[in-house]
Amino acid sequence: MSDPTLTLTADKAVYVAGETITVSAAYTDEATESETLTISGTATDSAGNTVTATTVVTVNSQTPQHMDVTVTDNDDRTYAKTDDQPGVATFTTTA
Amino acid sequence: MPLKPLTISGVATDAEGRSVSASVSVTVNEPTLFGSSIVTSDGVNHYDAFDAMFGDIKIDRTYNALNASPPKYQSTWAAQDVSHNAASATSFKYNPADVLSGSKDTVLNSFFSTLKPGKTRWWTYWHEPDGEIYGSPQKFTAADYRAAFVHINVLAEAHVPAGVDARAFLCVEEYSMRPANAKGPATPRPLDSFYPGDFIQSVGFDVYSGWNESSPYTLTPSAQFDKLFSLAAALGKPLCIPEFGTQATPPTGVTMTRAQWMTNALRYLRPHADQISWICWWNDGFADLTGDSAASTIWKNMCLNGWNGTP
Repeated sequence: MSDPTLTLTADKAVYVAGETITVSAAYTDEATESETLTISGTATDSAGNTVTATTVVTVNSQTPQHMDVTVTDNDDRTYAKTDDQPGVATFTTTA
Repeated sequence: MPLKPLTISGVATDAEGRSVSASVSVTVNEPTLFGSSIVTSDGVNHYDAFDAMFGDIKIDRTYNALNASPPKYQSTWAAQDVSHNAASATSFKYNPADVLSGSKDTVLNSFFSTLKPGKTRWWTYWHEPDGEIYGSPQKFTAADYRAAFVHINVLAEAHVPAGVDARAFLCVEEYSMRPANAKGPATPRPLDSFYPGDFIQSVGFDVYSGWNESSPYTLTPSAQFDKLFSLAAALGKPLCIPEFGTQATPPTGVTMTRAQWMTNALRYLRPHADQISWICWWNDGFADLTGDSAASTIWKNMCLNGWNGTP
């Protein structure tokens, strides 16, 4: 299981007071889903004799999952979440 | 327009409780605000009259009396600032020993917890403490002043509501920063002796011509302001001018008018606009601009148009 990642991006580097600040929070987080797989084999010779065998394996798959994101700043602004898609959430506040 | 660094932080948490954080740094370019005092020394509140005189006061400087409980800002003036959509700059006075004993915590906690959102709420503890620290007799020490200011800031950090932009400023006399040979005090009053700490967000200097000197209008803008910019820059802070004023009548032999003094000062300050948070005219007593059409028009243009109104 890989660790989740988060990247914050602001839509501008410099804002004039009163402007809207838009912040995108892009994240990756994969959950592991395990599935048991039974594999069966049959062998047949020229005389028609058959033999079977099975083996059981586990298949792990990584699926993206939703994360709850919160945004704050050092001036105690309130950030409103304006979009929340899998992998990215968007927030706005006033500069 | 001071540039204010802003650090935006985010935390993402998944269903399994794993979390990750990140941050991004941006800059907010804040315009210099121009405003005025609104209550004269006789206690009369002139908000509407001064707001009309200056077109639109963007920041309102008020003074709470010694041991005010509650501070009048809390009971009266804050609502005025909200209704006028103005920023606030208010100061209060409690003796450092009382602050440090904790006996003022309740009134201060109430003050901070009732600050209003919207515009910035600048606050300071004991404006012009340089007079008490370095005057004769000394009323309190620089160390006690710093410790009391720090104590109050701890209360502020605990009680200012989320979403309220409250900022601490320091307020000292420009006069105290002058060298003795340039109309300054006989004994040096070093700023760092009473600077309370990095939580201060703007370093304020009350700038006058004609109050602490026998020959007003004789100091050049450079002589008055250069050292202030240097002091604030050394601390990594913008400066503010909580009181800005001069008398109407020049002394014998000086032909400069008050409007000319204002013009010279503002033209000198404009190139430093990104270092100045706000300026309030001291509209009281000898500096009252009532009836001074030339000077009041200059200040009205500054309040209405910011630096674009510079004469």
